[in-house]
Amino acid sequence: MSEENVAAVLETVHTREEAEVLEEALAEMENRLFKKTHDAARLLEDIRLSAKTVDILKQFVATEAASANPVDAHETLATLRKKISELKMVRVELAVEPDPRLIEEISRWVRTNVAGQALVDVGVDRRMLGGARIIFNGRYRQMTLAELVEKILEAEKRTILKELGFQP
Amino acid sequence: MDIFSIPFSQTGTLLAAVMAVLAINVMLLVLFAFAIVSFLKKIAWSQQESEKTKQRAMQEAASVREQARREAEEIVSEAHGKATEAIKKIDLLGSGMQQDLEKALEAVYKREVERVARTADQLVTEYRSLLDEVRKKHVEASEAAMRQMMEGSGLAVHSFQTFLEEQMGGYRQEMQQRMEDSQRAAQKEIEAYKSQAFKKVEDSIYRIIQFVSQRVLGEAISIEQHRKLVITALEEAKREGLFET
Repeated sequence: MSEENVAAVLETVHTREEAEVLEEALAEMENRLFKKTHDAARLLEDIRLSAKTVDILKQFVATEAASANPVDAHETLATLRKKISELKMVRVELAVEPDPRLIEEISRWVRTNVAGQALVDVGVDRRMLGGARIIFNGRYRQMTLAELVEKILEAEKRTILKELGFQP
Repeated sequence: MDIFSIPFSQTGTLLAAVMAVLAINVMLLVLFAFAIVSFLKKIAWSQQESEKTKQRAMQEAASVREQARREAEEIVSEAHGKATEAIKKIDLLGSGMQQDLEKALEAVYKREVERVARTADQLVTEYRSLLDEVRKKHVEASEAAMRQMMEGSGLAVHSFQTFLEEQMGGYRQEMQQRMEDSQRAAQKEIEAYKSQAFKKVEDSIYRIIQFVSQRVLGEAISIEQHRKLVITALEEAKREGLFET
């Protein structure tokens, strides 16, 4: 697999979940390289990765099979796995279960705005009501509706209580 | 001169002379003895007389002392009796009055503690009127007790009356001070209770509003609004430098 192809595979992986699936697939491919059956290509048929990733991997398997050099192929897969494990991670916690469109939008935003490639790890915390909590490199920022409600209530506490007819 | 050197012819004369001297000495001794006996007799008589005189003097002194003691005892006993009677009356009335005071104050404290536990504003009003009433009653009771004490004791001496009035004044002041302290403490307790109650209600209302807000917001926000909020949060994090390495 060429350097360009390695970079292309990495670019197709956007989330932590996708990275885990790919790492698992690469590990399995490494194992099958030294087996007589050499059915790595069949493994890729059922894999839960993007079509682009699968295409690149299929191409790689076909090339390596033609060259019949499993040692080089094994080294290439190991390098790819190592690069995946070294990717930065942006954890984004939301108040709702995200649909694929929202995940894609977040991933796109991260690819555009975070230097270098970073994976997105999405989590859910319903107590936030809305907004997001973002954790990166051991630091975090949050802008949540719960926090906003808390601030407004605190600022308007006296007025609200007065409106309710409860005079201090 | 040695006696054995005298000639034998002169020994008769010498013996007679010696005998004469001896006889005179014996006579003188007898006379001296009589004188001594007579002197001793006189001394003995004198001692007896002296002892008798002394005995008489002692008897007279003892008699006088006994009489004086009896008289003193009578005086002291009479004075002691009067004083004891007076003191008893004063003490009885005094301790009774003090007990009344303490009971009245204790009753006020108990009533206050119970009432403070019930409610706030109503308690303040009732408490003040109660204190006034208790104060008036206590003053009346104290004056009545003083009058009764004065009449009962029979010691209508002006100075004693003044003393008692001063004592009563002291008691009144002390009682007044205690009641004022008690009132202040109760007022403080009531204010703390009100403040605490207000805080509890405030917190409850606050939690209700928070809960309702969360429920309403949770239901009301669309997925599109969530998306916008998430992107806004990411933009804000970037602006604050979270993604800078």
